[in-house]
Amino acid sequence: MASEKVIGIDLGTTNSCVAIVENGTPTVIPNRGGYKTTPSMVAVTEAGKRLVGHIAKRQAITNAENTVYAAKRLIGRKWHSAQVRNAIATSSYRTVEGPHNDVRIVLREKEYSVPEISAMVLQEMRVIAEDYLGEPIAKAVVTVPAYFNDNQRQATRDAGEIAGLEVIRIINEPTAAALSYGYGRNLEKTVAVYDFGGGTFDISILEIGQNGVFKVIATAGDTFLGGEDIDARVIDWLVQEFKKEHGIDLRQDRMALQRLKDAAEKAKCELSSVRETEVNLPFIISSGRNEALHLQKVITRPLLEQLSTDLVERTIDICRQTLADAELHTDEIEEVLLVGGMTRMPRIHLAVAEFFRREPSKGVHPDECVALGASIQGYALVDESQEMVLLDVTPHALGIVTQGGYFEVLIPQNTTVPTHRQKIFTTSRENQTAVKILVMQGEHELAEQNELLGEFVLTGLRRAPKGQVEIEVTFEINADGIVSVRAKDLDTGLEQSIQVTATSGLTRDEISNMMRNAGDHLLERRSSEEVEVAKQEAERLIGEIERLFPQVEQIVAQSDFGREAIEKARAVVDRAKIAVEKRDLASLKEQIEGLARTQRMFKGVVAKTL
Amino acid sequence: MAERSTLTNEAELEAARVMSSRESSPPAPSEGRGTLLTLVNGHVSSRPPNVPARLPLETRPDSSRGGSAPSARPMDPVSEIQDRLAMGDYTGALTVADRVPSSSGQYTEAVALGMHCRTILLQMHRAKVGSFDQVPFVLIERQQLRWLSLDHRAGFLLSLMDGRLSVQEVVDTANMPELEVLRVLYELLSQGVVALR
Repeated sequence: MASEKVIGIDLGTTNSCVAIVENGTPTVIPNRGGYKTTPSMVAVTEAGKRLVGHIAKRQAITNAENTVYAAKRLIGRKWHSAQVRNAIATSSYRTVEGPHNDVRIVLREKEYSVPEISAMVLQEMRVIAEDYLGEPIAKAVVTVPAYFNDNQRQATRDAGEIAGLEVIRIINEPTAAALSYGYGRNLEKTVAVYDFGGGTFDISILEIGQNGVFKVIATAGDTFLGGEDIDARVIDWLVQEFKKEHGIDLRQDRMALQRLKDAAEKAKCELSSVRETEVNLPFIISSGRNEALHLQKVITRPLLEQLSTDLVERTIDICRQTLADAELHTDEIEEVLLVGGMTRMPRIHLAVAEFFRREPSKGVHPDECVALGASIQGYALVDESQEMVLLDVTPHALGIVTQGGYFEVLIPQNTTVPTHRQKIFTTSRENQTAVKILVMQGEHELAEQNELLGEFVLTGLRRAPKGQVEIEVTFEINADGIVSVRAKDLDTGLEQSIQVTATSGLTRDEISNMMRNAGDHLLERRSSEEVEVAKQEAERLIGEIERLFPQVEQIVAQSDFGREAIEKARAVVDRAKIAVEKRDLASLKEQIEGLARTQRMFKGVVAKTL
Repeated sequence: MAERSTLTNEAELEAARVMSSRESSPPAPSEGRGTLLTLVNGHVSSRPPNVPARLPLETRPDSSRGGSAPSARPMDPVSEIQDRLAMGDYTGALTVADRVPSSSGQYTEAVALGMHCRTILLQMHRAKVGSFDQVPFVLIERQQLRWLSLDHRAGFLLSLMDGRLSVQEVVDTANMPELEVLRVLYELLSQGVVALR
């Protein structure tokens, strides 16, 4: 049995999910609202209150400037990167450049780092798990897209740390999905994981081997293609129809737009199981003559399919390209796993089946399998009786830049760690006395297409014709994933080295501060919940005592005793009301004792007379 | 001399507004839809499609409500606010205060009085609604909501009252002033459109 509990978290672009292995069975934990997924959204209200999850989503349009969504598109990325530029162009919240060339998000004039925002979502998932399990949770396995580089992975780890979680392993989302599919089945298969979520699309081809090796052999996607794009098409259609009918553009009204967004998403989901649905939004807007107008439209499945044809086609194009790049044929794919809520759409299911020429597996739950896979891995990591289900592998190839701007791989992608590799290089110029080693990560043969991790210079080389001085380069990855690179002049024995540590763009001090803030916030939230429970108990007792007052007063009036007790009871109730008003926990607890005594006494007095 | 009763009390004023809205917009069967609808609590009358709804829940300051009656000589806003406060008409006083340009600096007293009115009204409405932990839920079928006399803000708030969000969460997500949310909620409660649990 596992000595401590480890949760698995699918930290998604639009939705997140948390799971745990209970009595050997992986289980998704529902949130307080009963939903098994929670929107990865964070907002700050005008009153400065932090909202996370569904409640943040419900006000995402009416409070657009202060609501963060799809923070995952920004995590661990540099401010000047093309991906950040793209993400910012489509965001309604304000972003600024951080002190370490990272991205900061501004909410109500306060700056937050991206890991800090993701930490708020992770903290919510932790709270969901803790509420369900009734005990504190300290460890988690968190999933990330297969294409995430070391910095993005480190930023995700940092987010976990800020949320008060030790992220004991980061695993790839398609790997987690495949793990959930293959758990306990000892499979050897090549599978395609088609993941069409709310904000992103990913296709990954994996080889599931024996001994826990899940190799991602190809992965690609579009970080700006998801279910929200389909919602947007439905909204466009509804807006146009309304404009045709009333001549009013609903986009001009944020309340109307918020309702349209909620309704469009709901209609889209419903159309996965029914042929048509009605969007009914009474009092959507007031006309110029102060006339309340209603929106009522029927949307059919064929209409939805027509509105989203090109989007679905784009995902298939990406699948086609990915297989071609990996020199794979659809015949070689032995199983297709559908992940992400959008794969429930019958048209998508059909398109995938047609492309891969096989019916997708029904063995995984599209919303839950990634979190379930993460929980399985978490369970295996702490339970000694379990065989290791996943080996820790390098997500991307590591190497250096060579002449012509090419990327020379020393450690290939999916190499199990710890590991070390050596290779001998020579000088490229006559009488070259120094070489610059650029350490990179990625899969592209052109160095500029990959991620620069670090650089150093080896000097003091012997003057010699080009190609004669031999330099041995060694890459080493230790068990903690830290990469060391050493270059040694084999003639002179001179050497230089560099240690590459992935960075999220945050310093240790910053992370510590953010952890304290997140911890304080959680404490405050827990305390507020405790106050709420005490307040409700006090209010219940006050109500009960006040209900009994007339009867007790009547009984006491007929005797010479007890009048003082009535006065004391009134004083107790008055003090309790003040404590309820002030929401002071210590005072509430104290007054509850007095109220309970009074209630018992009153009940006793009434019972004696019956 | 017998005392004459007046509607100077805010609760009574609010009640009068609610009653006024309840009695509004009588049903007139539309073409092709002749059946009168009988709704929950008898509070909701039928309204044919395309019949303009009155907007009794309109809370934006306007001259038609609690505001200044047109007069030849415009009254000093501070005096008008104070007169209304003396009668306990906080809504009317706030309406006047809201018309004063707050940036002018000329009417700092009116602005301060407006803030005072807002605080009092907020307290009153909080007391009327009760615990913010209660969850509002709609008592009327979605299809039938359109026969009510509501405006788009009430429509928006109704869309948030899904039986899951508490009053506090509705206030948090509405992105409207809390006073406006509570006023609309109270009116919806009074009309029997929503209830709290």
